Amino acid sequence: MTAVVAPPTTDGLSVRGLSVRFGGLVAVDNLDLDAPEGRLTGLIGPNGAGKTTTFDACSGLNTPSEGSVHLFGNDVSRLGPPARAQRGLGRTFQRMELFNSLSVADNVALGREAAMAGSNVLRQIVASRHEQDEMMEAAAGAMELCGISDLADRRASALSTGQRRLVELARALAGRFRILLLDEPSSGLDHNETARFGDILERVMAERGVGLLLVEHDMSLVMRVCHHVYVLDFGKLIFEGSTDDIRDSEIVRAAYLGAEEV
Amino acid sequence: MLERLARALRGVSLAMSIVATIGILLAIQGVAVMRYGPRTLTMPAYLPTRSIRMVGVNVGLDQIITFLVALVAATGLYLFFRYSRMGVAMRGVVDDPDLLALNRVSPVRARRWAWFLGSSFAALSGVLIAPVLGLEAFVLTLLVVQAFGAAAIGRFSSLPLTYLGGLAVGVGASLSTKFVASVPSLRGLPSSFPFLVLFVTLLVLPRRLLVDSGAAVASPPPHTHSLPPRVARGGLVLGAGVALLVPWIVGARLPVYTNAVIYVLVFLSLRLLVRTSNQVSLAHAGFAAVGAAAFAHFTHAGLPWPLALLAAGLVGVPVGAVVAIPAIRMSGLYLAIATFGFGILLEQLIYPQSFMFGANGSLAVPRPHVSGVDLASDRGFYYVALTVAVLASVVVAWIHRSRLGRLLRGLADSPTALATHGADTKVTLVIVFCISAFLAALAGALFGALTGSIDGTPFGSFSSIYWLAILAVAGNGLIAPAFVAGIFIAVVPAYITNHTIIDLFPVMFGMSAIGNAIMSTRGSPFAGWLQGASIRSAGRADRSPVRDRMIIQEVAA
Ligand SMILES: Nc1ncnc2c1ncn2[C@@H]1O[C@H](COP(=O)(O)OP(=O)(O)O)[C@@H](O)[C@H]1O
Ligand SMILES: [Mg+2]
Repeated sequence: MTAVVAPPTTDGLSVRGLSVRFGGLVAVDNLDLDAPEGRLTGLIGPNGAGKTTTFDACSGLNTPSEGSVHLFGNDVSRLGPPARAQRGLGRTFQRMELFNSLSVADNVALGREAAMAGSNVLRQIVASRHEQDEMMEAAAGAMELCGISDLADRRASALSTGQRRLVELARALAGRFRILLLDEPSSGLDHNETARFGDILERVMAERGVGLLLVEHDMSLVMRVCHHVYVLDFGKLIFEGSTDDIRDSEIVRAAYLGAEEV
Repeated sequence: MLERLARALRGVSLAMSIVATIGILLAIQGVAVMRYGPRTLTMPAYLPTRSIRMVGVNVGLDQIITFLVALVAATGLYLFFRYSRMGVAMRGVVDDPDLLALNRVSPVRARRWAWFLGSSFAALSGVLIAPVLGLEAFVLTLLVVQAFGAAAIGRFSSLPLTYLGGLAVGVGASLSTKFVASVPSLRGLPSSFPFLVLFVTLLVLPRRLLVDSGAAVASPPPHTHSLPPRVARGGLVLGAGVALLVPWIVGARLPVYTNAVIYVLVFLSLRLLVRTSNQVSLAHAGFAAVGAAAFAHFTHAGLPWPLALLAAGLVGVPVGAVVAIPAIRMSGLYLAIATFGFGILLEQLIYPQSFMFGANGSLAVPRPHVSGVDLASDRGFYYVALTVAVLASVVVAWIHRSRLGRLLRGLADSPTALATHGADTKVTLVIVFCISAFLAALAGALFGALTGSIDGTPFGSFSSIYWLAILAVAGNGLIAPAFVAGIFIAVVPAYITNHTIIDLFPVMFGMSAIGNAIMSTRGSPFAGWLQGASIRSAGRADRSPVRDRMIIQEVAA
């Protein structure tokens, strides 16, 4: 009764048969997932379901015990994080990995500059004029898109959580990524901030045409912006479908309600 | 008391917590040296020394007792961690103190117990070892580093394996004594064997075991002084004026100032590595020694003086690259220990080789000669050293403004973010270690030229620790602290004749290094307030699962 697994998509991120173990714990269990360019894909599930672990496996931060990760049809399973980023995969972090001692503008600019530096010794040391201009332009555009231009000179560590989330998003948007993984970008935001965040995501989709894979606890945001949603529970894919399908699904509701008793 | 300190240091950047640890080490060691003198105290053997024959080998009764005590202690610890509530709590505090607090186990109590146990076991082993090795603060400190080798074999988690590791290291060191008797060039092997084990084990252990858990959450201190540019420029002009006039003011003490100027290179090198990039190197004295030796050889081979200097710096580069390997694989305390182990290896295995300081252990080093210009006199050489130091300062300042500078500061804050945005952080690390080693090697070469001859003594592995502690107290700026630190280490002692005060120096530097490391998170009251505010708002991040479910029900309805 094994379902036939579709071949990896060529227009975005594909995960096939992914399993990640921590000692005896199977954090992600035989997961198949696609996040194509130009679409907003949701990845939801209760705390500890394995969403962040899946992201880490996609960006090369952990070592899966089985399975493969593909970017635009190429198997990138054996590449390190920088090489995957060079091929168009960017991300943000649930625990926010900002450059705290740098200004907001420098944070965002580094989002582009890191990719320019790559793994070449000379390019890590000096930036050409041309690159410098390109970097500044990308940073200004990304800050504008996220509405944080007025924070440019503030130190990243001195901002509120909501502002920091936006800085991290802007930093990822300054890079030339074609697929972005966003890990709980609205956690720590209040109701208004979350609504604004939804607007920004929709603008990003409209203006950039990138593919977004969104891990999110705020179901109203997910229902509002996502095209397609995957639901994880205890590392297993328990449901996948459109937002309408999710709404009607008994399985999903049970998974969330089941967590309540714990 | 140590628990208090450990708590105060939570949330300090990794490099600064190492600095504080080093500060404690220097302070305690300094006090011990002041109290008991630098010589070895011998301790009467208090255990019976009769020996008995066991499987054909003479074994002292005292050794058997020691062995048994260690075995009992290890077993006791093993059971304690395995089965007692407090033991489990102590393991938990490493992973997540906040989670532990949720389960109504006080992390403070657990940590206090950990320190208590740790200190008493250290004291017990000190008592056991004293009759064998004698009491000398330095030797006992080295012992702790060696013990890390054993702990590394136990993968920092398995007590039984650690016990076996300790035995293996000890037996290996003794066996190597026999082996070495026939190969004179490896004289240093037995004493450096534990460090070899340590360095190699740390290199082959799986990487995930070597990432400091409970990594810093707070941000490192601001990278630049907020001095108004006018003041900064004024200070620069004043400093430059004083620096130029020094040879006409200080008289016969001039070499002391030249020494300080050379130290500027060392501190610039450390500044770039430790404060800019949040890395640690306790092998810097080794870099300097390699530079000094290479410089002596190059000048003897007839290379022109400036070229020989440059080449000596370049010889340091591959050594720096070697030290970058542990930096790629580990951070924080593990990195500090690994680089310190590497420094000791260099000192004990490499310094005595004839390709370092010659067959007699000492080489003559010339000063530059240019006809018509006086560069070789004390006065002339001061200006030579000053020129090199100023050039190096300019280069370091330039690096800070360049792409590399931004990458290094990014590396200090979040290597993960840097990597996931496309920069290969391994390359960045190798670059900064190479530049740092280059500068330190230059300094080594100039030290040699200053004194006229060079041997291994100024480059003892403990110098690296001392240097790092002094850098930590020299302030937060970019270039100025290097000069301040240079004056601290070279000039100030020359004006103090009272020996008690000189002995107090390590203690003072140690103490202020601790203080500085703790203060590094506090910063100005305003910054503290902001930080508090961001923490308070971060509190909201933990949205309750109940609300999630309410939302999903709302949506479903
Ligand atoms: N580094 C790790 N070591 C051990 N267990 C881990 C590690 N990271 C995550 N886990 C475990 O894996 C499971 C999935 O975690 P995670 O992916 O963070 O969940 P989510 O992001 O969906 O909340 C959890 O049970 C978590 O405790
Ligand atoms: Mg998560």
